[in-house]
Amino acid sequence: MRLGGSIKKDFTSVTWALMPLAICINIVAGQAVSMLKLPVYLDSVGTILAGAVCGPWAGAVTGALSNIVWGLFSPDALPFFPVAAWIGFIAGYCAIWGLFKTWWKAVIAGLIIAVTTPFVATPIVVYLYGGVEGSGASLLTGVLIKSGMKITSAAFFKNLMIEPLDKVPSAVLAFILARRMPRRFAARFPRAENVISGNA
Amino acid sequence: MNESIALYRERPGALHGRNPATKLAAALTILAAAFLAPWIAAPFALFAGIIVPLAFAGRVAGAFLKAVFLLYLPFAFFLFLIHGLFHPSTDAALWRVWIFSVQPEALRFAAGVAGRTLVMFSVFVLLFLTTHPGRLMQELQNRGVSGLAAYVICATLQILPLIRERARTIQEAQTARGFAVGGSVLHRLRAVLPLLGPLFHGVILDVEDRALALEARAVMRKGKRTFLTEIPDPRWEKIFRRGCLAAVAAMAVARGVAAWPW
Amino acid sequence: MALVSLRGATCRYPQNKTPALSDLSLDLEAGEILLVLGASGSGKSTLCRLLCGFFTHFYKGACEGEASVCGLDPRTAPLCDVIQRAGMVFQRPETQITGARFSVRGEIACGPENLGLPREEIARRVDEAMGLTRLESLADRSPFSLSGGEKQRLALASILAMRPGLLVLDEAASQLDPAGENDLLEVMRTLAENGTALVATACLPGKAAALCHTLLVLDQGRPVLYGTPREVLAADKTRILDAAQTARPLCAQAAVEGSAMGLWPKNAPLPLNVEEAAEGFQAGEKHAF
Repeated sequence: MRLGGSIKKDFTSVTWALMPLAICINIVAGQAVSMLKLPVYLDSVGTILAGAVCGPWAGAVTGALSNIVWGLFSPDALPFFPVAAWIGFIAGYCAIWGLFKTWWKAVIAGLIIAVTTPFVATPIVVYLYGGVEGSGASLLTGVLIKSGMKITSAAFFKNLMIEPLDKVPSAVLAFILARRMPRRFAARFPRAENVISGNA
Repeated sequence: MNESIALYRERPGALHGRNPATKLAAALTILAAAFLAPWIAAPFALFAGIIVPLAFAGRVAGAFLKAVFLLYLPFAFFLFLIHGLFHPSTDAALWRVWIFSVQPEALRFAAGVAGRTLVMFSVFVLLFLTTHPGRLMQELQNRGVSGLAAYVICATLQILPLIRERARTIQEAQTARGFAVGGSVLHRLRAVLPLLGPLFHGVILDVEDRALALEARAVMRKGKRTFLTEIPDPRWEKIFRRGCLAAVAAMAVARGVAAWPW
Repeated sequence: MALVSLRGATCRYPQNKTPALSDLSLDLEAGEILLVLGASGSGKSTLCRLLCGFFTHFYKGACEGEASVCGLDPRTAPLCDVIQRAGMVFQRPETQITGARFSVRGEIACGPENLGLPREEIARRVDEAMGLTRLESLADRSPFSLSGGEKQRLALASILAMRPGLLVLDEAASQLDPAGENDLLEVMRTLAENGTALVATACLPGKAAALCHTLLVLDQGRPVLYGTPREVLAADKTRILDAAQTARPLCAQAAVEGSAMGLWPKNAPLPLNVEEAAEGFQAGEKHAF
C-alpha cells in the first residue's frame, strides 16, 4: 500500500512532461557521441537523469518508452526495453541512496548500473540474437567463446567489461547536468532532494 | 498528416488502411510461427513467402528492403563470423583455417538465430513502415494501453526534430567559438558536455510549461477517453484477429506435443 | 456574484515568506476584459496561476482570502474541474503544444478527448475553436511545423476547446510579431463579445489597453491601481505608475506630456489608440492657435 502510494506520487505531470524530453536527450546524446567516434554510447543519460529526479519507477518507464521510440526507427532495439527500464530503475535507487550528490559517488552509481545490467541484457541477447550484436564489440564475445566459454557466459562477461565504459561517464554526466539545474526548476521534480544537497 | 515519422511512409498501399491492431496481430503471429517452427528453413520461408510479398502489396518494398538490410546485414555478418569461426576446435569441425575452425553445430545454431531475427526485424519494419505511430498509439490506447505512455511516444517523435535543431545550433555556435572536436578520448568525451549542458538547460526550462499544458488539457485525468477520428475496424478484421490467436495457440500446442517425451 | 471574484487574496509560494500577491480584490463579469500590468516579479503570473487552479494544485502554494471562478473555488476544487472553467495561454508557443497528436485538428481535439466527451461534441468544439482562431486551413498540418503566431493561435484554440468561462493570457503576446499580436487581440475581442471573461497580463500595455474594460497595476505583489484604463493611466497617476515600473501606451503618454506643454486639450479623455490621439492633438492645435 505504501509502495503504491509512493509510486503514484512520482508520476506527476512534471514527470510525464520530462519523459519525452529525457528520451530526446538520450537520442541526441547517442548520436552526438557516435559523431565523436568514442567507444561509448551515452544513450541512457536522459533515462538516468529521469530516474534520479523522478524516482526509480519513473526512470523505468522512461527507459522502456525510450527503447520503444528508438524501436520505431530501428526495431532491433525493441526487445531490449527491459534493459533500459532496469537502467532507469536502478539509477532511481542509486539517487535515493544518495549516489548523485558528489561526482565520485556518481562513479559508484555508474558502476552499480554497469554491473547489474548484464543480468538483464544477457538472457535477451543470447536467446534472441545468439549473443551477438551488429557491432565490433561482439568480437570480444567471439574471443571469449574461442577461449572455451559457453555463449551465455561469453555474452555476460563481454557486457560486464563493456558496460562500465559507457555507464560510468553516463552517470557522471547525468550528475553534472542535474547539479547545474537551476534550483527553482529542480524543485518541481518529485525527487528533487535526491540530487540537491540540503544546504546547497 | 506528415509524410514520414520514424519509419512510417505514407503510401496508397493495401496495408496502410488496415486497423493497426490487425497488423500487429498478424506481425506477432508470423513472429510466433518463426519461433515455434521446428525447421531451420521455416523463418526464411516466412520472410520470402509472406513478409516480402506483403511489403510489395503495401507498396513499400523498396524502403522495406533497404531498412531490413541496413539492420540485418551487419548483424548477420557478426553472427556468422563469431559462430562460424570463433568456436573452439573439436573433431566435428568442417574445416580449419589457422586458429579458426568451423563447427556444424555452431553453424546450425547461427542459422536458427539468423532466421528468427530476420523475421523479427522484417515484421516490425513492415508494421512501422505502413502504420502511422499516432494511429498505432490511438488503437493501443483503445485497447487499454495508458494514454500517458501513448502521449510520451507521440510527443517524443514530434519534439525530437526540434531538439535536434537546437543541438545543431549549439554545436555550430561552439565550432564558431573555436571549439575543436578531436584529441584524446577524454578530451573528446569532455566535448560532449558543452553540447548537453545548454541542451539540457533549455529542456528544463520547458518542463514546467509542458507540465501545465498537460494539466490544462486533462491529460492527467483518469477515466474513459473518446477519439475525434475513428479507426475503422471491419468485421472481417476482427475475425482475422481471432484466427491469428487460434493459429498461435495451435502452433504452441503442436510444438508442445512434439517436444513431449512420449 | 461576479463570474470571477477575489477578496483579500494573499498568496505565498512554499518556503517563501514574502507573499507573491498580497490583499488583492477584484471582480470580473462575463464578457469583461481585465488587463494586468506590472514589472516582472510583480505577481502577474501568480494571479493567473491562482485563477486557473495551478497556484495551489501545481505550485503547492498557500492562499488566504476568498476566491471564486465560475462558481468554483480554484484553490480547493479538483484541478480537472477548474481547467474546464478557467483556461490559460502563456508566453512561449511551442511548450504549450502537447504533441499528443500529429495534426493541428488532433492537438485541439486532445483536451475534449481526455474529458471523454461524445465524438460529435468533440468535433463541434474543434470546429468552433478553429473558426475563432482561423486555423481551418492549417487543420491537417503538423503542429510543430507552424509559425510562432500560428502556434500561439493553436495553443489558444486548444484551450478554447475546453470551453472555459474565463480565459487567462499570461504574456501571451510577448513573443509574437505585430501581426501575430493583432490576430490575438482580434480573437480576444470576439471572445469577450461572446461572453467570455478575459484576464491578460503584460509588461507593456500596448494595444491591449484600448481593448480592456479594467486595468490593474501590480507592484511587488500589491495592487496599486485598479479601475478603468483612463482612470489608471491619468496624468496624476504618473508617480505610482513609475514606482511600479509600468509605462503608459505610447499615445496616452504623448497626451500626458502634450498636456503639460499645452498641446493636449485640458479635460479631454486620455487617448487609448492612435485615432483618439490624432483627434485630440488636432483639437489641441486649434485651441492653441
